[in-house]
Amino acid sequence: MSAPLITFRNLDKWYGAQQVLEQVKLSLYSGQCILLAGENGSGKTTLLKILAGLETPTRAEVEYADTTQPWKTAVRRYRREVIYLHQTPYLFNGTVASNVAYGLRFTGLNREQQQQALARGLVWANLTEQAKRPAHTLSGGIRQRVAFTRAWVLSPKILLLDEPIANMDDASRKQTCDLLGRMKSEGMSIVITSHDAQPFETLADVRFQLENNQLRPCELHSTARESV
Amino acid sequence: MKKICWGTGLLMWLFTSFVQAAPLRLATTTSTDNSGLMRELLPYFEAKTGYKVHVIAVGTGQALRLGRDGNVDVVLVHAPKAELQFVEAGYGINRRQVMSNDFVFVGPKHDPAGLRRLRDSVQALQRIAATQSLFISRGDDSGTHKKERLLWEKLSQKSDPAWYREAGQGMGRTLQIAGELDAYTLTDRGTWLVFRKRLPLELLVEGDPRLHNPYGIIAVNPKRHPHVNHQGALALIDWITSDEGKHLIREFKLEGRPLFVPIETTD
Amino acid sequence: MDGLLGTTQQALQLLLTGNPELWTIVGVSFSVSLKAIIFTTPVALVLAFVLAYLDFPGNRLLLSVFNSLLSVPTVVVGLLLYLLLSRQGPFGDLKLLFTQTAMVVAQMILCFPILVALGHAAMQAADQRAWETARTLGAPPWYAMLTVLYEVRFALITAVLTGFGRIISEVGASMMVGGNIMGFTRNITTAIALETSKGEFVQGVALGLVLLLLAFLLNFLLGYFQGKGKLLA
Repeated sequence: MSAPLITFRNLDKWYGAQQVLEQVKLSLYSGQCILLAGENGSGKTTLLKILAGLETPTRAEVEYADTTQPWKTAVRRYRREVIYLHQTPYLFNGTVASNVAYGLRFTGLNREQQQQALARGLVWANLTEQAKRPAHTLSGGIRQRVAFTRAWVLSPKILLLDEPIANMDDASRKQTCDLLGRMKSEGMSIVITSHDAQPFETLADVRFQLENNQLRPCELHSTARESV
Repeated sequence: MKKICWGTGLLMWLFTSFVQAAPLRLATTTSTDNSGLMRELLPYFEAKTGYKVHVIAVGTGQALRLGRDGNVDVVLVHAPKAELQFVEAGYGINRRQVMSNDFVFVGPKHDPAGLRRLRDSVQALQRIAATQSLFISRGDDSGTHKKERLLWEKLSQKSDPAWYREAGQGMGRTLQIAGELDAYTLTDRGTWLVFRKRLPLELLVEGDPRLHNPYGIIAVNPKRHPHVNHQGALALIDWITSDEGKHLIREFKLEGRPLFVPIETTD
Repeated sequence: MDGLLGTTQQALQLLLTGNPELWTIVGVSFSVSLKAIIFTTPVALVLAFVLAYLDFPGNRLLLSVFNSLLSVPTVVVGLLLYLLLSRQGPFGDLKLLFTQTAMVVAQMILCFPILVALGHAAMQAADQRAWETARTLGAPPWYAMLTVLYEVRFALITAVLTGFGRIISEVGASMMVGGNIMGFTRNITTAIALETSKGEFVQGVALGLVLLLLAFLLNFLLGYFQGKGKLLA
């Protein structure tokens, strides 16, 4: 296991006088899946959003591409490699295809290349037949798949998922875990929050618990590599 | 390509209204404008000189105010005293008398104050006051209103709100109100001719020399407002007092009758 | 004297025979109001977005200012602008009084608060996740803003239609700063005011009919877009 993709250190978050995260330290490795457990309201979503660059920590240091910088400067560089997925994914007005293709226009690819990337994504997630369906007609399971594909086509190095299988039936859960497994084997670093650890036993390599504002490594059932 | 054409067209349309040749701005009174004289006359002037005239019709007071503030280039009103004060104060120059018409008293057919065929306007007001008949005044400091007040000054009786109402509006509206309320009012002949078909009122008093209504045109003083279109103002003043202007004024008819008498002498 | 029916008949005739004076007046109305709404909408919507998504001191205050400006009488705006644009006023040198430009400015002032207030309400109702999703997928802030605007587009269209409705039917401001000059600054509403003051009801009714038709159309569109907005919520 080589060097981490990115490491966050001394991460604090205060909301006014209330502290939510205290001295969090986390390293993310390529091809590794981290399970972040903790009660509702423990700050899992906040941590994830900070990792994604969607929320600002009170302070944090980031080690990325061989330099250590304060979060404010580092985020501009690393945020391109990270994609955050909401618990219930938000799909834009439009079709499956237009949603999946949304982020492609910022990648610098030309029109044709974008079309190809879109086609590849649809094949990867088995969505080619649904490409023209309007987003607001889709049910939960497919919405999740569309959201995943929308992220996958952008080849992010890091994927952050907030409660990805809450409120899902068993079939959809299996589908989701399959997709996540494939993404992991393609080299993505995945962080999942879930209050139920059981479905992710095979997928997760490492488990952390967020308790009393602090991140604590935990035991998983299988032997785990612990982050440094 | 199509988008560019539409876009350019839209941009041009958006901004063309901001690019305009300087018009000649004339402030005049609503009654003058309502008579239709300006509409008849100005095209001749415009064709001859190439100026485009913008007519802003407001009450006399406001017209003079517009001139004083330099918001217009030339004013045409019918309030001799106010006009002279205007020139004396230095707001306007080159005043000329243009034309005249007259005022008349109108009122309900059954004529409770008994004005019919009187020739004395002051006597008419006396009778209105004596019988406490409803009278609608312009109440807006217009030429008509000033004339009316001048006449009241010659009376010992005072007007009383019980039967004296101030409309605060233009002549047309005031006539309408008088018609609705079966009241008397003082009006210029021009507006009366335009409106009389629609009103249940009748012309009752006319011909008193005191009801004479002269119109004057004044250029806004360029020394006070250097930006005004002074050339245009002078051109209009010269033209309207020229033979051609006088001829057109004389020939102007309202409801088949000539309305204005051009003034032959120049001030 | 003509009754209501007779006047309306004559009015319809006037309209249908393409009376040029009448249609010039209608043209001025549309020219002025369309320009006002076109110039105001982008700025107002961006401001509404900033007010909804950015927290800064005075944010709430600014919003309540706009909300209270919603019902300012049009004559007041007209009078204020008149005093500003008059030769005696601070902006007299711009020579804008009694021009269509002045009317456009007046109407921009009138519809701006509406667009900001209603636009803001639309943004507030927008899903927070929309912005976050756009950003995490790589959109720069300005593009993410456009995405959010598109997501609530029906509510925004409603705001624009409402603003347009207010300005096309206003008379106070147009009259004061426009001067009601025929062929130039005389629009539907100032013409109606003038014609009725002259007792010429036929033209007034004709113009009124145009305005009524427009009001129906706007209301219909409003209902249509509001319905669509609800469907996609």
